[in-house]
Amino acid sequence: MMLVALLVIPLAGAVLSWRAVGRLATTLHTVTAVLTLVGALAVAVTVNRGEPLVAFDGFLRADALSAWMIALIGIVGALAASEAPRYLAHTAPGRFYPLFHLFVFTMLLAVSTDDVGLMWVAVEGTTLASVFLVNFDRTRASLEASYKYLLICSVGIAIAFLGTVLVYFAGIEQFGDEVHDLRWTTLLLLAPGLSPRVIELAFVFVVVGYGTKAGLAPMHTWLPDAHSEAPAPVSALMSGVLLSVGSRAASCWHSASCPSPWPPRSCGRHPTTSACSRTRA
Amino acid sequence: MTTASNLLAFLGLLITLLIVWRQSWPARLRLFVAQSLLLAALASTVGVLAQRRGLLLVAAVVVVVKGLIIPRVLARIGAGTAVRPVAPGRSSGITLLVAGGLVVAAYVIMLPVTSAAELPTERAIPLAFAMALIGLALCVTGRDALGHILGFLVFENGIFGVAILATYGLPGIVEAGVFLDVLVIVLIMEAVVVQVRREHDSIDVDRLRELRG
Repeated sequence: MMLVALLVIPLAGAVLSWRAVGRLATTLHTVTAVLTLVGALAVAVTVNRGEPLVAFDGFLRADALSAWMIALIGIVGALAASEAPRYLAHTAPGRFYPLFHLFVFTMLLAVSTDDVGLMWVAVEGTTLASVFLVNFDRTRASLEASYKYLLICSVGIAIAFLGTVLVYFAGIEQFGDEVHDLRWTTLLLLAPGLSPRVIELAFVFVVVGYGTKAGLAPMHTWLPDAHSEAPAPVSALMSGVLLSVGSRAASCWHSASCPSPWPPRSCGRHPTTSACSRTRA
Repeated sequence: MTTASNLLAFLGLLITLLIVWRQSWPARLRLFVAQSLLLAALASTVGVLAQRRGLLLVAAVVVVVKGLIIPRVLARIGAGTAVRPVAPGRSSGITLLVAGGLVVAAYVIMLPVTSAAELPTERAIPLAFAMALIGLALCVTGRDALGHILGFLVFENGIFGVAILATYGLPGIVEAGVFLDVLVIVLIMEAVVVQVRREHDSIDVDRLRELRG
C-alpha cells in the first residue's frame, strides 16, 4: 500500500500541475516534492526493518536495494525540487513542474517494479519524460542536446528490449507459457535452467541498452551534452539518480545471467553471489 | 506456419533493402507503411496458427499506429522539406552491400537462438533481426532527421518482428509500452524537428554541430 502511494503521489502531482499556473503551480510542486520525499523515506525505513514491500500480487516490489534507490531518488528529487522555483523565477515555468514529477515517477517505477517488462517500459519512460526538460531553455545548444539524447537513448533502450525479448524467449522455450509474466523473483529461480548461450547474447544487448542510460561507452555521447544543457535541477536528477537507475537495471540482469567467465561452470547456478540477488534473497 | 513466417519475414527484409536502395522520401515512406502492414500480417498469421488471440489485437494496433498514425506524422514532418535530388554518380551500391553483410552478420549473431529453439518460426528470426540491424545502420548513417527517424522505426519493426517470432507475443503491458513509446518518440521527434527547422531553416542535422560530446 505504501509502495502504491509512493508512486501515486508524483503521478498525481504531475497530472494536477499540468494546467496550474503561478503560485498554485509552485504550491503543488512543493507539496508533491515533500510528500514524495516522505513516502520514499517511509518505504526505505519499512523495508530496512524487515520484509520487502509487495503490492499488486508482486507486480510492485521493494527489496533492500530498491529501498535504497527509492530513498536516493526521494532525497535528490527533493533537493532538486527545492532549487527549481528559484531557477524558474526568471523564465516562464511552462510544463517544467509536471514533467519534473513525471520524470521522478518513472524513475521510482523503474526501481520498484518486479516485472521485467514493466521495468523496461519505465526506463524508456524516463527518457520521454525528461527530453523536454533538457530542451527547457530552448536555445540552439539545448535543442541539439535533446535531439541527441532522445535519439541515442531510444536506440539504446530498443536494444535493451531485444535483450528482454530473448530472455522471454529462453524462459518460454524452457518452461512453457507460465513464464509469460516474467518477474525478477521467478527469473532468478529459473536462471540456472535457461539456455546459457541465449542468456549471454541477451545480456550483451541488455548491457549495451541499459548502459546507454547509465552513460557507458560506446553509447555515452548524449550524456555530457544533455547534462550541461539541462536546467540545473534536472541535471542534478540525471547525474544523481538517472544513471543509477540505468546501472541498477543492468546489474539486475547481471544477477540473472551471471556472465562472469570465472568460474565458468557456476554461471547462473549461484545467483546469490551478486549484489542484486543478495538483496532479493 | 514455418512457410508463412519465413515468407513474411523474407518479404519484410526485402522491403528493408528497398528502403536502403530508394532515395526519395515519399517512396521510402510508402515502403515503411508496406513493411508495417507485413508485420501486422505476420502477427496475425502467428496469432491464428499458434492460437494466440492477443496477437490479433497486436496486429490491429500495428495497422493503426504504424500503418496510419505514424506515416501521417512523418508525412507532416517531411512536407516542408524539398525532396533531395539524388546527386549524379551517387548510387546506393555500397550501402546495399553493407546491408547484405549485415544480413550475414544477423545469421551469425542469432546462431545461439536458432540452435536453441525448436519453434516452427525459428528460421525467420535471423531475417527479422537483419531488418533490425539494417534499420540501425540507416539510423546511424542518416543525413537528416527524417533519415534518423525512419531508420529508428525500421529498427523497431525488426525487433518487434523478432519478438513475435521468438515469443508469440509478450505480456500486454509490454506490448502497450512498446507502442506508446514508438508513438511518443515520433511525436516528440516532430516537435523537435519543427523547432530545428525554425532555428536552422533546414532539418539537415549536420547543422547541429555546436556540441561535441
